[in-house]
Amino acid sequence: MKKSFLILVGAFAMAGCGQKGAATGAAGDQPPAAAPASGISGPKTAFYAKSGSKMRIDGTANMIHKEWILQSTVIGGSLEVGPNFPTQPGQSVQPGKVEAAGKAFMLVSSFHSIEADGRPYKVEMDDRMYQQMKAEQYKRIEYTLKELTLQGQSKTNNSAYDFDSKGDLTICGVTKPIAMPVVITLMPNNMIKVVGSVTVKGTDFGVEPVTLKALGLVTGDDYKLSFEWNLGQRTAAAGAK
Amino acid sequence: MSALRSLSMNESDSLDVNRRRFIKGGSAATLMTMIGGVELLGQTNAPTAAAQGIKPTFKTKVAVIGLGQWGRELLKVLTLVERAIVAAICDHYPVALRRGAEDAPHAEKTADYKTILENKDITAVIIATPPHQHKEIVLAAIKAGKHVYCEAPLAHTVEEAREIALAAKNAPKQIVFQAGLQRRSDAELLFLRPFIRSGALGQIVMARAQWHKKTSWRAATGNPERQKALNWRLYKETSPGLIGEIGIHQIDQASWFLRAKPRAVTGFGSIVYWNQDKDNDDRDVPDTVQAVIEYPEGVNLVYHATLANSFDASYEMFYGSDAAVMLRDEKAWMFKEVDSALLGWEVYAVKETFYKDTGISLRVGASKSAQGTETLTHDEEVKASAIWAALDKFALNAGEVNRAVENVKTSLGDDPEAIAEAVDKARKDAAPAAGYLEGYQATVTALKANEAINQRKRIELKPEWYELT
Repeated sequence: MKKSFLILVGAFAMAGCGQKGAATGAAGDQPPAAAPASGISGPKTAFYAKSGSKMRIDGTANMIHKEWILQSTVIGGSLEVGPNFPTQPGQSVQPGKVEAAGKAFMLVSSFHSIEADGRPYKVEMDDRMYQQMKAEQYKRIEYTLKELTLQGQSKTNNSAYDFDSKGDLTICGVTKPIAMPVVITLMPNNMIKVVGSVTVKGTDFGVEPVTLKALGLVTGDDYKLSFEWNLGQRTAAAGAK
Repeated sequence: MSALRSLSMNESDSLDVNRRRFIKGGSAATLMTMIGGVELLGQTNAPTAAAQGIKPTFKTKVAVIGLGQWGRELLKVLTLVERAIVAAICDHYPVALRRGAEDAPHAEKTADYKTILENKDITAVIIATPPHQHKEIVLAAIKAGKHVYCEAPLAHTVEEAREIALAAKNAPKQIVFQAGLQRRSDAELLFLRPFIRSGALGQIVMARAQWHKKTSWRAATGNPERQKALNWRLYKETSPGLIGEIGIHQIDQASWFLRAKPRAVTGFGSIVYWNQDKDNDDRDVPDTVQAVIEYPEGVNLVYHATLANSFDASYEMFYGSDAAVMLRDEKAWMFKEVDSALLGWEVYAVKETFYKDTGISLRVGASKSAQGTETLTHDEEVKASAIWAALDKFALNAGEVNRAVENVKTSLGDDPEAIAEAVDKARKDAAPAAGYLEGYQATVTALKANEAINQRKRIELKPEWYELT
């Protein structure tokens, strides 16, 4: 395990952010803003990030430490939806485009390496990850929702609805379009939970796979990003910032 | 100048309590192997080869308050902790402040610790004043919302140690309190602890520890008014004695490994040697002490320390019916009994059971030190030390709590519940370090041992003394 860790840290050291992206979060880590101007016509509902969320990045290698995991337990941002977004559990719906706009962000500094059972893995791995991802320059992983299409009510849970989403993902300052299915569950107290995952290629974001020839080790180019994002509406007392 | 005088420390000497070396390099391993010892190799505090060149991205601004001999040692080590920024240093004695500034030229200098507590950028403080001055500063630092590293012993009296520990216990969860028991953060000892507790030694029957160094402990100063303040270690009204200053670490290690609190302590102590120059040395703290600390089930720790002889320097032993373990100079050696079951190096098989998730190996034989190839630079040597590990973990744990709070505020706004949850998680995932309870309990034992030594008697250690209610 110790040897494999060394190799993994070494491998991770050689991957990392490319030079081409623009720094994110450079304006500073400001408090979350009000929901972005969405261009949604008609009545809108705004949801704001709440606690209890999780974002996980699963990486691979062809040998030794074949799987490694990074996790963050805080996702910021907001989502605004239009009138054809389901609001009541069990509500029957028509498939089709839903007016929606939103932004999500995860602070790179909130990620830590973990074991499969969720226990912390290694501080050295975290230090290397922050260094190679240039966490001070590229403070955030960001996602901007562009399009949300309702597929229908989930078969297993009548409070949950299946959607297809399209949006832009920014990692290490490089922005690429991604499409992924998401499940949005209506929760009590006007909360929603958005669950989804997407596998991206590191090379698309300037993160090259690593080859350590002496060992025959190659890290995988696939990174699976999976998340559970909790959002809720603001009460009149809380007010929007 | 008398021969005695020439042995006294001046203010720039290091107390060197952590970097003593009995035998350097290959000869240590050779000697131990010749007498049947097997070196136990585990994790080290020093960065691994792959981790060389990793620079922590997130750093914590730390201040050091108290720049006497040990405070300056801590400061020097802290300058090698990459995840700490030495933002400020403080001492009310100008000479000490000036000397500290030589090691941390970019740090803000102040004679008043309150200016540090008012500085919002500095989130963590290390308090290394003499123990009788800890309480006021620690309580103020906690009130100011700073993370606190308080040197051990926590205080000069049990009552003040209790006040400090209770303040830490009742502080908001966002405040990290670490007691200066650096061995509790040491990678080698963290590895050894389950090994010793696992029964690999058989039944533990006895422990021993010693600290021998021929030194007067008196620091010379040209300022007679400063003499008593500078030499607080030599006077009972301000000193926890040899056992409180040095022995506290060795005794706490035994309590930690044995997983038990001591039940009684008997002590003896005298000024045997450093009483020959009464005109210039009016100390009343014994320079040679012995103590027997009684643990449950008849297991005793025999302790001795002297300022009058250096033979054998400093080490600890744990004796079991199947094997003994010696801890010396940041290494550990196992000596098996001839009639014990072949732990042999079927430890390879045992490794899976004990250490499956840690990747730590126990192996016989050719180590780097045995081959005489291990040579560390000064900085590498410091980074292999327990004190470096302890300060690194303090900066890490304090920084993780700071970031947990900032990340929630940035991502979710001012959500007290979410902040509390994030702080809880950061505290739960914290790197190993002594907390307020460990610091308090070690202080109780050490101060009562010192009392037993000064009064030449046996003191029963009441369980309620160790509780913080």
